Amino acid sequence: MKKYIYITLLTCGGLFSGCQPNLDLGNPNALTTSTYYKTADELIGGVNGAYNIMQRTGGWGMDMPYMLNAKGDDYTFTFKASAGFKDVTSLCSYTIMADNGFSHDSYLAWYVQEYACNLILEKIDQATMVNNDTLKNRLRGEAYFLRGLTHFYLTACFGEEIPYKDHTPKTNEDFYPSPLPKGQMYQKIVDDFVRAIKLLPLRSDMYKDPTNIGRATQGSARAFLAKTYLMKPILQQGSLADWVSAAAQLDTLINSNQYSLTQNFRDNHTETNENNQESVFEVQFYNNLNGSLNNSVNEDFILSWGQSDQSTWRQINIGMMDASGTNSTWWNMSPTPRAVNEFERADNTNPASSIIDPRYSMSIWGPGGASFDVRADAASRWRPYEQIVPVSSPNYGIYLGTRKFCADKASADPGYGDGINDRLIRYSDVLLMYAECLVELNRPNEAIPFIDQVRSRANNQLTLTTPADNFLFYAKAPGTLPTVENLIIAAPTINGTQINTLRRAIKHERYVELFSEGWHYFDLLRWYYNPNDPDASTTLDVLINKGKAENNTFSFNLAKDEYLPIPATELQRNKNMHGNSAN
Amino acid sequence: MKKITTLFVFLCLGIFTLLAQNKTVNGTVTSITDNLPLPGVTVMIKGSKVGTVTDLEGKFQINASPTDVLVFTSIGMKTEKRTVGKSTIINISLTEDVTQLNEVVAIGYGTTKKADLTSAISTLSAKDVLKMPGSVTDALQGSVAGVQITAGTIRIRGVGSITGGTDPLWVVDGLIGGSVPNENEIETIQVLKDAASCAIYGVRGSNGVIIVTTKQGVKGKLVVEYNGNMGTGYPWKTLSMMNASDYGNYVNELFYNYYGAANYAKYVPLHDQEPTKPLANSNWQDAWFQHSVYQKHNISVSGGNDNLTFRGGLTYSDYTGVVRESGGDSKGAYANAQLKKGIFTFGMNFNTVQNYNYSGGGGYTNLLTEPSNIPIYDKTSSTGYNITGTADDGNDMINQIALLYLDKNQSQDVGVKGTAWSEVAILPYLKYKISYGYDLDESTDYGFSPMYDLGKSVNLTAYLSEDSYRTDHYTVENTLTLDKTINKHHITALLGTTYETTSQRQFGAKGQSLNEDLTTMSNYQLSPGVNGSAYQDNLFSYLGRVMYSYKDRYLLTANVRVDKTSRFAPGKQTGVFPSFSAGWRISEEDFMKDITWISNLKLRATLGWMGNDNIGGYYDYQSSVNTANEYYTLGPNQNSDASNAPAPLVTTIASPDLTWETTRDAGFGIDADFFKNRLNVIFDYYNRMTSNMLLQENLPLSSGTTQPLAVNTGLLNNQGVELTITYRDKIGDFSYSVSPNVSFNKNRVINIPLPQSSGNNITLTQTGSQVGEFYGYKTEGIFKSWAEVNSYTYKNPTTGVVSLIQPNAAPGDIKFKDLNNDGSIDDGDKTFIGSPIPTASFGINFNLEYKGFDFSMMWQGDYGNQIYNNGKTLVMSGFNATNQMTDMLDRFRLTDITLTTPGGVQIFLPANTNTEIPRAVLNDPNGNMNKVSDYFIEDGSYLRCKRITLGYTLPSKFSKKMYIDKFRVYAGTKNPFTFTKYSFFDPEVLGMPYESGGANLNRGIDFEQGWSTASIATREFFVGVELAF
Repeated sequence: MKKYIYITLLTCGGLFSGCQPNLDLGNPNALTTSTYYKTADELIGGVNGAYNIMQRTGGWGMDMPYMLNAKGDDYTFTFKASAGFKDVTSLCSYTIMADNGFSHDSYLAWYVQEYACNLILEKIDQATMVNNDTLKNRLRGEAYFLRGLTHFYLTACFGEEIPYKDHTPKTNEDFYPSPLPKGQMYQKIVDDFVRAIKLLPLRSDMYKDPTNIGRATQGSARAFLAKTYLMKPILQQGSLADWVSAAAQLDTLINSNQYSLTQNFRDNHTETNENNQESVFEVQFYNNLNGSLNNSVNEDFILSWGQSDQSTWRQINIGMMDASGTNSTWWNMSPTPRAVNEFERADNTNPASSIIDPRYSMSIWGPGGASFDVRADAASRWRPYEQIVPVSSPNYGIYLGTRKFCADKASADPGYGDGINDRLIRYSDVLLMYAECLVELNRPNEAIPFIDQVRSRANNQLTLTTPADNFLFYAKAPGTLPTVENLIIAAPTINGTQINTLRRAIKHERYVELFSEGWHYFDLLRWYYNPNDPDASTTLDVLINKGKAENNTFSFNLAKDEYLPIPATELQRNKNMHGNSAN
Repeated sequence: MKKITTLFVFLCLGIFTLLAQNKTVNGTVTSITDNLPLPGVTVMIKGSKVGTVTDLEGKFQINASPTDVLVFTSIGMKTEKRTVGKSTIINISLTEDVTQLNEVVAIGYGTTKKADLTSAISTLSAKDVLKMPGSVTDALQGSVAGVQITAGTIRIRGVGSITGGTDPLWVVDGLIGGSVPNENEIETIQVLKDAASCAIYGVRGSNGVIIVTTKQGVKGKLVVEYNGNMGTGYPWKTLSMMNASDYGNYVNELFYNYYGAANYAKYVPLHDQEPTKPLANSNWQDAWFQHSVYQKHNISVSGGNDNLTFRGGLTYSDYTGVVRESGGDSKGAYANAQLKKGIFTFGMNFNTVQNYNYSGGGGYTNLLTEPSNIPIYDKTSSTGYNITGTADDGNDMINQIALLYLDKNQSQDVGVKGTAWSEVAILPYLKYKISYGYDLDESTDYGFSPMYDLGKSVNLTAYLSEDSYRTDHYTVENTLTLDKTINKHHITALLGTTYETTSQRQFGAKGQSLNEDLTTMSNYQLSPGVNGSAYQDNLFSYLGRVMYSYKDRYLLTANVRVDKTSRFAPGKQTGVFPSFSAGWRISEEDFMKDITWISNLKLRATLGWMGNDNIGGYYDYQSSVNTANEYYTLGPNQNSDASNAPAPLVTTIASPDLTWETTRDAGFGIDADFFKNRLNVIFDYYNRMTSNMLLQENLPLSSGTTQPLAVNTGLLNNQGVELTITYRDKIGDFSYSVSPNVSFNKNRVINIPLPQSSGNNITLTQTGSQVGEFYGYKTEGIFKSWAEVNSYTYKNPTTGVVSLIQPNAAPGDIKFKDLNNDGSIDDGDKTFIGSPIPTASFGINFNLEYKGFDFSMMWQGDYGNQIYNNGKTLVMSGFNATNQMTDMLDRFRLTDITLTTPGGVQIFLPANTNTEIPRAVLNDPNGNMNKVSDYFIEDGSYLRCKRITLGYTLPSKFSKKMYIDKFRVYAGTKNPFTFTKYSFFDPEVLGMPYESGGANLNRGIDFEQGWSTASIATREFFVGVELAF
């Protein structure tokens, strides 16, 4: 009997001894929000996290160059987009649906950036262990700037009736924001940039510590504030551009002596000379060969493989066409022949005469342009356009590639990426914006020197030649572009418009100087909404006729196509949200 | 070896001492099915208490008078009687008792007699599993009502969750989540379908439980068994793609219809400019597929005596896949033993398996779109493969055959499973058992890509990646079981605890090298990268069960399980899940005794609650910040890692209130046997209500997080009936059985606060809908003329302006219905257009036996479901220069087209308006292909013959001469016939796996993402041999 007692005791002991595994486990893969963001470095990291979104697929890593350029008359889709990337086709041809991949990814990415900005603003306030108020204020400034940028681009693309949040979600309802009522978003963007201007140091101060090179500075916020004033008709429907406020900011910026034009126009689009004296704000890239190909914010990438890809895919997306079959690019979007024709020629009445604007060959791969390193065989690696698309080909002058912000040679695996920073705003844009303000404020004579600054720089002899353009005229001697006064006197007709007024000259100048930098489509809208511009009513004809120019049937309809539709996924998941005029 | 079972020693003593006898009768008892001797058969003299049992050779000896009647009884066999008469030798063969009412069924932490069951459990025997080569899943398909298997995904009784896991729980020899053994080693498979049976597994029981019991040694002589088979297969269907000249014509028309006669020639890609002179006429699918060859061998040894039984063996298999450059092999060893000593029983199980698989690169989806007019191979190319996907072809399709041969993927894994347990009978009716289980899985994946130039894809360096996973799974179970009969009351009770931990660590590295001949990581130091992850999942439970029966006819069961999980926040971890069931064996009642045509009739009813904690993540209640590998680029040195500035990102947002999902299951069932057990009917009705559903709620894009939030929300209902009928009979030497089964399931979302859609927005799940219903536009065929396009208009009621509803349409484009009547085709016009959930699933098994021959056949099908054929956007797309199916030859054409291609070839394309296939036009201006619509909906019903097997067993009189106990050869085929209206590959559409975020929201969407040939059904032929001696 004793045996049974022992066995029974043992059994009950085994059954109910509470031999229980630990059920409160910490995640071994990640830190948590309640323990992180306590030290100065962690706060800096939090702000960097907000910048980082712009590097990703939804930002300039891939989507934003399409989002900003595709709708202009200077870009169109290629046959390759038709075959493989219909999202490009629909953007270029105004047949965009609410399920477009670019608008989906960008919209998503911007709101992640908004969240990151709000989170770090809250965490800076809570970080009582950090006593460095100078640092804290600078970081706040960066966060306000990035949040302003978020809403600036979102509004420009999707219209003003979109969600706006200035805090991280606290309740379940916060995950389902309503759109901001009309007439409020513009002021919120202005407010964030104004806050940033007050908090951010000047560029020269910020860059004293070289590890800060690439961060937003007071100048960045000021330039975007000016941009916001100018784009008010787009950001707040039914209103007019605020030329006075814009001119004031631009004047301060120019007189801050922080910026100047680079010697070489080309310095603004290459891997070297990034964050140079002309740069006002750039999205930074580094062709990190260790990075994962997939750097989207909306996929599980973040939790899985490798480090974030810090490169831009612009080269592979829209760089050189691969007519020879070996250059390994996707080439989904091509400059239009119209974009080529905008560059001034020796004889502007004769389309066969040679282009005298050096900026053409530095921006576009096309007839008579620079050579491309096809990488295939060492003997003749550098091939001029004519060897890639022969003059005899029907595609000559139609198949065009983008050189600006793209490498001169075929991107090699891995990554397809490039490290070329995307200059969102540079000083020449500032000068041209200021010139435009002065014209609108009836001070045309003051505007002329600023335009000529830009034009004369374009004429500078190129000092950094490679086999890509060492055989071209501008590598051997300065260019011969006339001053803007002489241009107006000559009054050539370019792309159907006679350049005989200062307004028209500025429009022409912006087209060629800032080609492929994401502003042209918005410039066209701005000018259309400018009641002082005698050409306003016909400004959008180039978009309306874009299809005809390409033997296509599509057409631009301002009421429907001005903005991109609110992504279908957003509307489905967020019952508080409604569509816009494009849905 | 002891020849007489000790348990029966007293009986034998009785025989010699108590009775005076006339003579000694000797004999052998064998089984009629395999002629093998039957040990342990009780031989009793009728009307007396005298008897004996057969020994291990099936022999017995008994003293009896000529008038005595000997009664032979054995569990699972029909009782036979024989009068002694003048014989001194009585040999007898027993047949299996087909009703198997005394069969013992595993019920989770114990067993019970099938007759006492009060819940819905289906059983599959070793014989059924071995009908054909293949996995356990293959064997289950079509054999068990209520179990739906589509291309490898198992769902028991409908879809119980929306984005939570719906895979059933596997229990192998009592080890939860144990690796499923080689099919040769399976004794039985039991599918636990309702709450009453599953609730004892609490936590993961809500999707059903599949209990696998492996074969154990039996006492008796040493038996060596061999089972081997080999076979070959090929996809039962490949797509009929356009040949080179048809493709060339298609491309010319594509550009012609878009750019118009005047301009199109400028745009036609070079290789398509002369359709009559293609560079090649390639069949890419032929280059991709091959006939697979596989073989499998299993050899086992088993035996034992009264104290020890043992079984062990080896298994080997290899195969080459239906996709070229793929194959693998598998080697395994296993052993189990049981030892009895007094009141103690010890047991152990050991199983190890080593798998190796390899495959090439490339993807089938891309392969299908490769134009047929460009060559696959090119001798002048450094890789031997033609560069495809250039401006000359008008597309960017990389040569997938090149990738198939150049890229190498390999995976190796080793699984070791061990269980050890010890049982002590404290009292004859009270047992305590402690069991330890340990399961280790180590796997390594390698990916290698050499240097090559394929145009669009160029490897300037060779790539190597290697990933290792180690998963440790550890369980401890303590149970106390009481089993007591007091008069006519029988009580079984169980009390226990279980302790379970699962942990995984993963580590990976990758790098590049300029020397592709070396294939170890240390040679790949260019651009290296490392990664790693880990998780742990812990669970602790109390369990209790009482089963009570009175007079073998009134049956009651009550279960309760208390689970605690580490997946939820403290305070939310515990869930309590009770269940009750009752049974009434009417056939045992006195008033039924006279109804002889009913042999058995039982009513069952159940009510129970089950819990589910499988939300996918392990730490969902914690907000996490990812710091690893998150950088922004800052500073002066932007060509190196020096510019990497840490940029942590919040990756998951906490869901602190997350807790158990609960399923309430109510149902009733009938088990009945008629006509002396010839006809067996099992009927079940169930009604399951899932509440507090674990949902990965996809947040709005503007919420600021990209990760779905895990929440408990909503109410989901599944109801259905299941019916299995088996009829078996024997006419002389000819015996047969026919067993059809059918199940009907109705799924409805009672309430869900926020509609859920699949990643590609093809399905929508909302209140009132089914889970994962297709959601899109209704269509009304295609426009046949300009008049039809121009008359499809809308008149604005306020302005009176008349406008075209589809302004971009042309004849040959799809006409979409303007359901909300607002003059445009937009999101408001979407509606439910079909469901991937079948109304009914059915299966039917046939078995015939005649002398040594056996024949079996199994059919399976689904009825009433739809498939969303997303494949049309790929190879019936009509908007780009990629290859198309031959069905596209019947595309719409308003008028005759005569065109001269840029290469100078005259093409005549006749008008074709009597068709429903849209026109070919570059860029798809009308959005025929990018709108989710019922144009893509197809009937998914099918009927498929899953297998036919014919076997022959050598009669024992021949085999005995060769010292062989059993010799059976068999041959058969898998998937020989399929009847379906589905136009693409296979009606058994593989959804995206749950692990990839698929779950049930994108079920039934074909070509939903990169489609792999792994899911295509192959038609196979196999031969095999079974041998025992």
